[in-house]
Amino acid sequence: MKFDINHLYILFGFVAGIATIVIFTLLWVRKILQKHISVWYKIRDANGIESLESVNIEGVEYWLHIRGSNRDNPILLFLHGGPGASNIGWYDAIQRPWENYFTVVQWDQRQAGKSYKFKKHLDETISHDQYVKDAEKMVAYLRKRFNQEKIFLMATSYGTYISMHVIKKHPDWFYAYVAIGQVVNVLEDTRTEYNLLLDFAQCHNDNELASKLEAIKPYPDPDNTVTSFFNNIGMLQEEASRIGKCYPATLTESIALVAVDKWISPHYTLLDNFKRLFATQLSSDHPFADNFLKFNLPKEVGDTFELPIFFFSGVNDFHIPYANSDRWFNKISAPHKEHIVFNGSAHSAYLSEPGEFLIALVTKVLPFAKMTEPNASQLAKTLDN
Amino acid sequence: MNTIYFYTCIFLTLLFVVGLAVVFTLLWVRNRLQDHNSATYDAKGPKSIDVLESVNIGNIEQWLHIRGYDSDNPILLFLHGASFSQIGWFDAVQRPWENYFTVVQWDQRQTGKSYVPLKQISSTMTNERMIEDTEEVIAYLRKRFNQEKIFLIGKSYGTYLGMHMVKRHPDWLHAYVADSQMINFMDFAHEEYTHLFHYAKTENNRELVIKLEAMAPRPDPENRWASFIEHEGFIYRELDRIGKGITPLSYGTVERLFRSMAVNVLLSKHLTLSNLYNIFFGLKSIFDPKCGFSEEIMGIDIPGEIGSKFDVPIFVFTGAHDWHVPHAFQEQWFKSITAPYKEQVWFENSRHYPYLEEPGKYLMILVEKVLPLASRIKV
Repeated sequence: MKFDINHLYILFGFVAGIATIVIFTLLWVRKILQKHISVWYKIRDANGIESLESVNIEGVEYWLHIRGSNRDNPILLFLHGGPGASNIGWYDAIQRPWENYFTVVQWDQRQAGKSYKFKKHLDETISHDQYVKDAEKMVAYLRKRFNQEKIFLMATSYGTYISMHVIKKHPDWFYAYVAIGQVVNVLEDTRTEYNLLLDFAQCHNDNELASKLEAIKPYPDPDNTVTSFFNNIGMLQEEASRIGKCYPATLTESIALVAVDKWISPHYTLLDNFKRLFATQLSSDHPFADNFLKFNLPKEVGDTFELPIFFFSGVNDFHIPYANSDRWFNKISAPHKEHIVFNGSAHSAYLSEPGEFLIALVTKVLPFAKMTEPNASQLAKTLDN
Repeated sequence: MNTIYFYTCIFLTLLFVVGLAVVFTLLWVRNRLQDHNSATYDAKGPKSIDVLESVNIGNIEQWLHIRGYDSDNPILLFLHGASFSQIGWFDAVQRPWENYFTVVQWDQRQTGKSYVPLKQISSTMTNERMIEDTEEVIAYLRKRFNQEKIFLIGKSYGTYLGMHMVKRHPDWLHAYVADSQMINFMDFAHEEYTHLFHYAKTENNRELVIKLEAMAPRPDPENRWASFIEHEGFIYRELDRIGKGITPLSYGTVERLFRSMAVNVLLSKHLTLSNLYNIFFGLKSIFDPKCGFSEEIMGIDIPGEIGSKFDVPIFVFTGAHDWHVPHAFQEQWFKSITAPYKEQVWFENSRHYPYLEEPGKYLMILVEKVLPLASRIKV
């Protein structure tokens, strides 16, 4: 057969046609699943609340996802980690049981998740101080909006850094603070992570892991901390997850899980999903990278706090090492402090032991609202039931 | 060549290609999401267990799904309602329970993964055979996990099986949880109807009163099953309209609830395409009057069959807004029974499915009230 340019057109048209059909089918499935998820988790209780909304704070538009089956329940504000590891869009299933007892507020922080803006100058505003300031403003906003004198603050990973500053400044804003994997000193934590992995490799004769770790020695490199940290932290988390010491799945799988959840989430538009490609993910060339590696909480906020403090730690957590959190915990003084240890968990107790997690929240943490809340009788009833 | 013939051929080919592209895309997405779901609900731990297996029960292959974070935890066997298999859509619901119990879902004879064409087992669809199946499943679990006693939850028809286990094998059970107990089926069908009828009268809803009056007698003793099932859909919808039906508030209508469950089922890693076919097209036959099972259900009478004295701790979980199995009706039965320990747990914000509407509280009760009964001294 002689080559004819028309054949190429037909072939091209055919491929384009198939691609269009595939894309439309995918979009259709996405729509069905979004609908499914929003029905599955919908809140219709007479006094319930379910709201996905943006609020302007410090000149930036932030997204909040507020859910609870009774708006008289105390607010539980969740500060995600990362920086940039947003929660809106994949947390519905995790927090569903909590919503019977708390009004859960998920907030995508500065340049994270749904709150990401295509504005270069916003990336440059990111700093420890700015994160803390944002969080203070957000708590102030929520207290006012829900007319609650106090709320609960819960945070994970980097969110616990922000939180420690906020609770230090405003202990009277909170019933209690819950830290899931409390960070302490970033360089020391990461050094410990490295050493724990090395010990593990030696104990278990894992030569492959040992040689990977050997190759990045010294870690983090004191002469070149930023590059050394950001180039290798992913590998460390991947390896830690592989042996059950960080995420329940491997890092790659965990990222894929969150991505799929967000693709089919009713809370995420296609544009939001597109923006995820750009949203804050720290790397050595991020304007915040340098400063990120300079925190040492006990030095910054001391050991004395004026509110009840809970540490929720996975005993297997190498990433934010359990031992480091525990050492600081022992030095802390607070009107009430409690270290709740999750024996079957690493960095994500809410994924590995969702049952224990809820029981701890409801039996240990929630009662602190009962003690000061004017509608204590109602909360008591909830607990007694 | 005939032009019309030619274009028809082209058109059909195109249609075929389009269809193929759609079907393959759908299958690919399903495959992707199946993996996604099983990773999401993965219970990974050094002693965790996650087994989907078939066991020979009552001479047919029946499927069990056994999941837990620590296989030393006590077994919690869930007995589902008639035709309401749970393997495939329950992962999200039971995930938090798995930290405390080794949860066993069992697709009963003729349902879900344990489907067998009705023709082959029609004569075995009897209450007695179902009870014997349950005995076999529990015996299997006790032996396999080397546990003297297990926990049992029943839902709907499952509570019928559950109560018979309580009566026949008190020494096999730590405790029994009735998630809205089925008591006497004719009474229930009557109660559900009268409850709504009184409501319609009090609210002066003429239209509803007339419609309900037209159904009387319900159920008709002469024509038990047909008179019951004919209007059950109508009653569901009316109850849902006032927020007192089987549908959790979050779904609004029972159709939405079933559609949601169907999506979960379609995307479950535990079900094959042929399982799906059976679930969506095979099950209606179970209630075909020719099968006889519907008459078996109509004949259920717990007090008549096994009395009201039991030797196992009994919990009754009741949704305070449940008018499908009216809560007063459950309460009355609860008061009439004796057991070493008994408690009726009220779910203030629930209808017929507390585990969907108040999953937090459901777990709290299971862990704080039910689980402690496992520590009783083993014989």
